Amino acid sequence: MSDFVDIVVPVYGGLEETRACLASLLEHRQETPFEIIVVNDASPDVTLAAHVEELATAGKITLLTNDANIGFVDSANLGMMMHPDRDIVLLNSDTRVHGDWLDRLRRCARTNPKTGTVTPFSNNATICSYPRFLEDNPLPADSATKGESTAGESAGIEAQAASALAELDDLFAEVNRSRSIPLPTAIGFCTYMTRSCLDATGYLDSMHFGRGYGEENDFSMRAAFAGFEHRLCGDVFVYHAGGASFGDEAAVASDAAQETLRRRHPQYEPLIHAFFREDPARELRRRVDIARLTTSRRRRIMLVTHRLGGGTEKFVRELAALLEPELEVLVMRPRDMGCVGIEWARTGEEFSAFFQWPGEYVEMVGFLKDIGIERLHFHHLVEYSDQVLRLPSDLGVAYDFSAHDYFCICPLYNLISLGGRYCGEPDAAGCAVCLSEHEALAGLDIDEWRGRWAGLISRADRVIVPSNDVSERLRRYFPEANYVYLPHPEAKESTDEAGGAVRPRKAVTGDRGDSIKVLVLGELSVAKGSGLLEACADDAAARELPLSFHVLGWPRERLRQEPEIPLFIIGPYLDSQLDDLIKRERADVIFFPAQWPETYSYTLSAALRSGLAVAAPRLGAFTERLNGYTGALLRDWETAPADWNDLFMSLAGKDRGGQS
Amino acid sequence: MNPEEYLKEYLRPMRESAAPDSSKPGTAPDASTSGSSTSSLPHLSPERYYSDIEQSPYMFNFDMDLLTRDELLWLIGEIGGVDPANLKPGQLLGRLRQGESISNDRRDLLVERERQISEQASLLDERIREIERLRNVLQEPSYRVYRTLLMPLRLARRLIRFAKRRLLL
Repeated sequence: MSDFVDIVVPVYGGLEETRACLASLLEHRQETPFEIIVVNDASPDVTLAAHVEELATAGKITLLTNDANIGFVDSANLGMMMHPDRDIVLLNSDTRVHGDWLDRLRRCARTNPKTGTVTPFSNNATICSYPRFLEDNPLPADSATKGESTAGESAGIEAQAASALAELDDLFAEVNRSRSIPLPTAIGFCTYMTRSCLDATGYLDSMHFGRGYGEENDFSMRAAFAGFEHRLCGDVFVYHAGGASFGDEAAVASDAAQETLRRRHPQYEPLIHAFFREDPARELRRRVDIARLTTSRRRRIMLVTHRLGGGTEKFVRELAALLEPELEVLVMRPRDMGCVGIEWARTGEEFSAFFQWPGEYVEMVGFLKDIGIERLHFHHLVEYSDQVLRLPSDLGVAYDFSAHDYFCICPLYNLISLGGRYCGEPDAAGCAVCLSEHEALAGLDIDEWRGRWAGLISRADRVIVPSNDVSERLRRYFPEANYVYLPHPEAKESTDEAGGAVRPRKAVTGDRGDSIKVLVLGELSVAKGSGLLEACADDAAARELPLSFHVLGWPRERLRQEPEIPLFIIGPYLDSQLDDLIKRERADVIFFPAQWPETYSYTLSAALRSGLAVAAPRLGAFTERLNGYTGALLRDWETAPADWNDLFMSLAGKDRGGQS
Repeated sequence: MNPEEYLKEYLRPMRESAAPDSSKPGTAPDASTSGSSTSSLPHLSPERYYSDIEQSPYMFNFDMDLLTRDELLWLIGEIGGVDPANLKPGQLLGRLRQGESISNDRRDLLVERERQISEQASLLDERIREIERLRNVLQEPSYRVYRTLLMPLRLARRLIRFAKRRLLL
């Protein structure tokens, strides 16, 4: 058996990809003696043909040129048959390699004489994909480039791409050194095939898979039948642009190949599906994830939050996205069965780690130290035990605290009393009475509750508040804290040409007679005013007022609706749809019946962007956020339903502007 | 606040503080050497960190009839608080399924495990009752509380009952 390895590269289209592929093969020295065999399958691209001719003339490659186009599989077979005593690497022309990639592949292949094929990791290689399993990934964004380059891109971009690949492949080589796992099938973008396997199995089946796609799966099944194994080489990463070899024919060829595979190898799909379920390559990917996090040039921060969705989740996600160019952001949330999950919030990443809470707290702290977390930002601590309060000191890092509700003041985090209304924040005795009305909270000492939070809040580098109302409220309980006012980052609210707030739209009574359409936005809970809304609709029905209430969102509680009372539930929406949906409703006024001191209210932002009149209680963030808005209709938060309705009725036939 | 301004303000403390000492583990490597070597990587045990929820036993099939042996094994170990690897109940259960007899000492182990599971079930029942009370108090939407708090517990309870049926000799 020869020590030489033939690297067989069928070429047809994709000039720039092919150039880059061959350049990368020629650039990196290997201990393994190798020969590059390019098979030009009658490429119509004269520049490409001239390029490979030039390389062949220079003695850098061996060139086989087909007189007519015979397809990928036959071209590959031609190349593989050239030296019948050599191992083969079958390589797509839209790949790029780095470093001693061939030495590492061969080392893996020769570990066990029953190894038939070896496939490396790649960004675009289905079950061998990284970072995300089964995905066509761009090169990770922490690398110097994003995705493949195309013709016309500058040499600088090319250099960045090479650098990105180099960094990633070096990491694979380091952290997965000599590690591999069994695969159900080779993946064809880059397959090392041992000669003993080829001898026992034969070549690729061009009769059934002549145009490519599926030929390596068919080969793998036949090789397995002959007693050979297939392996994923954990310490090699090869870049794969994907799709370039076959262009628009890809989907058709792929479908046909799948059907043929099913027919010829009924065991293929169950094997693959078992691999999907078990995903044994996960550990190899995770090792690289952790190494990338640890060596990232960006500084690291972790956001600690809950898993209950709503505005807190929206904020955390948007903050993570905003920070993405600057920082590596991890997000910690409670998960099922007593776990916390730590997710890498970078777009395109898959990494999550799970720890039993609090049983594996020490291991988790060790992990976060290894990663190099520099700062924490607490957003919500519901479902955590007190141990979470130790995190900053155990990690030795500074931290921020954001108040998205009033959980640090009271376990009834909306400050809503049993009657469904703002409690008014009574003294400790009043709190004790309120808590005693809740069976699960009876006996809870409110001072002790706040005391648990006091240390965390007072030692925070910043207590970030989205409205001044929040800081005023919190200051009563935690006067020592450093409050920093930072309204949530959002796209600019609508303004008129003069730079002021948009005036509310003119009344549309011509379309609907004297009917007034009142729109309510978002998820509607008791705290958000479901009770008040129902009462308003009740009053409208009782007094036969031409008012109708429409919830663009969904109620948490069952509400009576039309025809009993003039209340309509439109249903849930995507955030990205909200502005359009508001326009489509053609409402006369947007009403916020909230019964708790909102800390910010994203739906208020949408209302402001709409330019419509906005009716809201003088409570929480509404007061300051509506200050200066031309269409603001602020009333005392205890305003009776009938008075709210009178306010809406007063809009009939008027230009609904003017703060009152 | 517009996102650019927000970002500037948000990052101010980090920008005003020096980046951590790059000689310490887990800190950014020197730009001139990054990419060329990872020999300074801190000691990591990634095996601890890859147990994603999708792969973990928490995603077992909810249909009792489809519960696999491995899932049952995990359940017994997890809820019983004993490492299944030490008990090796898989072998026992496999034999039980095949109608094979087992020795008395193995039988004793299974009976003890059933007792442990019953105790755990009582604790879970109590916790479920507490959470149901809390749900009413906090006015949380029932589906959310159900999904995040009650469902896993109820599922565990159902599985315990199932395991008991399997283990009762």
